[in-house]
Amino acid sequence: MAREEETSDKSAAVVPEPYWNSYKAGALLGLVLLLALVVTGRGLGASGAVTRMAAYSTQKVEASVHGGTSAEETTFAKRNAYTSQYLKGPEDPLDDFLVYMFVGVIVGGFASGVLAKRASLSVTFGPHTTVARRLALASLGGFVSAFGTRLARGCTSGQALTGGATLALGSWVFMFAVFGGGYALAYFLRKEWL
Amino acid sequence: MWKKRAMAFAGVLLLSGVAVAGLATRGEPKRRLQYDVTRTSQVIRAPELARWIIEGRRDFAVVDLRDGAAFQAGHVKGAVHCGKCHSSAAEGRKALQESLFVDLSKKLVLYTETGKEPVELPKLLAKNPRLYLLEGGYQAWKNEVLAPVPLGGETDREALDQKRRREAVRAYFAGERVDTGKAAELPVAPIRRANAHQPAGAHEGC
Amino acid sequence: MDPMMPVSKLAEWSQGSVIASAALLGVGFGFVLERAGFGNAKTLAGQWYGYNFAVLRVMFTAIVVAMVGLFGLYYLGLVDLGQIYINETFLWPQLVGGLIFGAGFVIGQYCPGTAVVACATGKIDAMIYMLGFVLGLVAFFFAFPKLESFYMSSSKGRVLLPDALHVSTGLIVLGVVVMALGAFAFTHFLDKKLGKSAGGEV
Repeated sequence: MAREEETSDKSAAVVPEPYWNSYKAGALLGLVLLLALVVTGRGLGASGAVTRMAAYSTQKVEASVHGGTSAEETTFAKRNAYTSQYLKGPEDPLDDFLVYMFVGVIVGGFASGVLAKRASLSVTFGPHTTVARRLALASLGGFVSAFGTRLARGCTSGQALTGGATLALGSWVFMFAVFGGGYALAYFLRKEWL
Repeated sequence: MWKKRAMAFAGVLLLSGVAVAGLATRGEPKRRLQYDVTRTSQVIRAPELARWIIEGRRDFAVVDLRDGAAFQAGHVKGAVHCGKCHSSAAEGRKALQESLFVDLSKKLVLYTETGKEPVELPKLLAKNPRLYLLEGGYQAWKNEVLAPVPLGGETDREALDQKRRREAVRAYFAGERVDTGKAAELPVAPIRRANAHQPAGAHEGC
Repeated sequence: MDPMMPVSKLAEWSQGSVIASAALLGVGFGFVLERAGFGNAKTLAGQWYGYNFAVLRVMFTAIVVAMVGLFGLYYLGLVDLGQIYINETFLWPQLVGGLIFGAGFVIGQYCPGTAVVACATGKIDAMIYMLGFVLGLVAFFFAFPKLESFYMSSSKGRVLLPDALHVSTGLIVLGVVVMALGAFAFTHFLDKKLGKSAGGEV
C-alpha cells in the first residue's frame, strides 16, 4: 500500500493542465474561423492538405522509381483523374493555402501541448482495451475516414465547421451524416472506450 | 453561479442571432457599383484571347456581360454569363458564387456587345490589375476570329500563312474537327496535359 | 459604403502574405483545438459514449460564432459574401461520405485536424491514424475511376441553406442559434441523467 502511494506521488510531478471550458474554446475557435473567412475569403481545413501531400508523394516516389524527372509525365498520379488536378502545370501542389495552414496547425497544437504540459509520446486508449487493438483500430479508422473525406470534399474542419458557418447546404448534410454514421457504429465499439 | 454564466452565454448567442435576423430584414446589402472601367482597364484584342483559349491556359476566366438572349445566340467559347453582374446585388452574388467563384489571382476578361458600353464594377474587381476588357466586344470576336477567311489569290507567303492561321483559329472555334494539318497551323499549341479530365479547383474541397 | 472585402487583397499583396496568413490562422486553429482537449482521443470518444460532450459544444459554438459574425458583417455591408469560398454541394457524395467519415471517426476516434494536433503532442495512435489515412487516400486514388461518376453526382453548385429551404437567411441564422442552444441544453440534461455512471472523465 505504502509503495503504491509513493509511486503515485512521484508520478504526480507533471500534472497536465485541465482543458478549457468547451464553450470558451468553441467561441475562440469560431473567432479564428471568422477571421480566416473575412481576411482570406477561405475557411479552415485539414484533409485537403494531406491529400495534396499524398498526391505529391505518390508522384515523386513513382517518378524516382522509374527514373527521374523524365518519368514524371507518365506516372500513375499524373494519369489518375483525381490526383492529376493537383499535378497540372508547373504549379507545386504543396504551394497551397491549406498546406501552409497544416504546418501552422502542427505548430499551434505543439505549442499548446507543451505549454499545458500535455505533450508526451504515448498512446491514448480506453480502460478495457489493449494498445495493439487501439493502434489497429486507429489505422483502420484513418483508412475509412480518408474515403469519407474525399467523397465529401473535406472533413470536420473544412465541411462541418467552415461549411456549417457559411450555411452551405452540402456541408450541413455532411455534418448530420457524420453524427449519424458515428452513432450508428459507436455501440459496437464501446468496449474500446468504456 | 454557473447558471448565471450559462444564461449570459445563451443570452448573448440568442441576442446576436436575433440581431442578425433583424439586420437581414433590411434586405441584401447594396453593392456600390460606381467604377466605370471602360476607359481605365487593360484591353485585350480578340486574336490574342483566341490564342489564350486555344492554348488551354487556366489562369483566366471570360465573362459575358450581355443579356441572356445575346449569350444564347452566341458567345466566346468557355465564357461564363453574368448579365446582371453589375446591376443586381443578389443576382451578382449568386452568379459570383455559382459560376464565377473567380480566383482573383486569375485574369478576368470581360466583354460586352461592342466594347463601348460602360462597364461598371464593384471596387475590388475594378481595381484588380488582372482585369481585361475585350477590345471591340463580341463584335470584334465575330469579325476577327469567327469570320470566314478567303484563302484564294494570295501569293505572298507570309500573308498566306497568316490567313491559314486565322482559318485554323476560325475552324477551332466553329467546332469543326481540326485535323493535324490544320492544327499545325494554329498560332499556338494547346498546353498538353496528361489527363484531359478537368475537375476545377473548386471540386477539390478542403 | 463599399464592402470591406475579404482581403483577397491580402492574398494579392504577395505570395508571402498568403503563406503568412494561412500559417498564422493554422497556428490559432491548432492551438485552440488542443486547448479544447481535441488532441485527446478519450475526449473525442466521450461524445459518442456520453461522458464528454465537448465535441458538440465546441463545434456548434464555433459554428454559431463564426456564422453570426459572418452574416452580421455581411448584413452590415462590411463583407462581400460573394468573395468568400462557399463549399459546393454534392448531395449524395457528401451524405455517403459523411456516413463513412462518421464511421471512420468512431473507429479511429480522430478526424484529420484533431489527429494532426494529437500527433504534434506525441500521441502515437494519432500517428498511426494518419498513416492509415494516407493509405486510405491512395486507395481512393486507385478506386477513383470507378467512383468518379458517383463522386460528381447530384451537384447543386454553391447553395446556401436559405436558398435551398426557401427561408430567409436571417431566420436560418436565428434557427441555427436556437438549435445549437437546444443541443447544449440537451447535453447538460444528459450529463445529469448519465451522471458519471458512463465511466471515464467528465
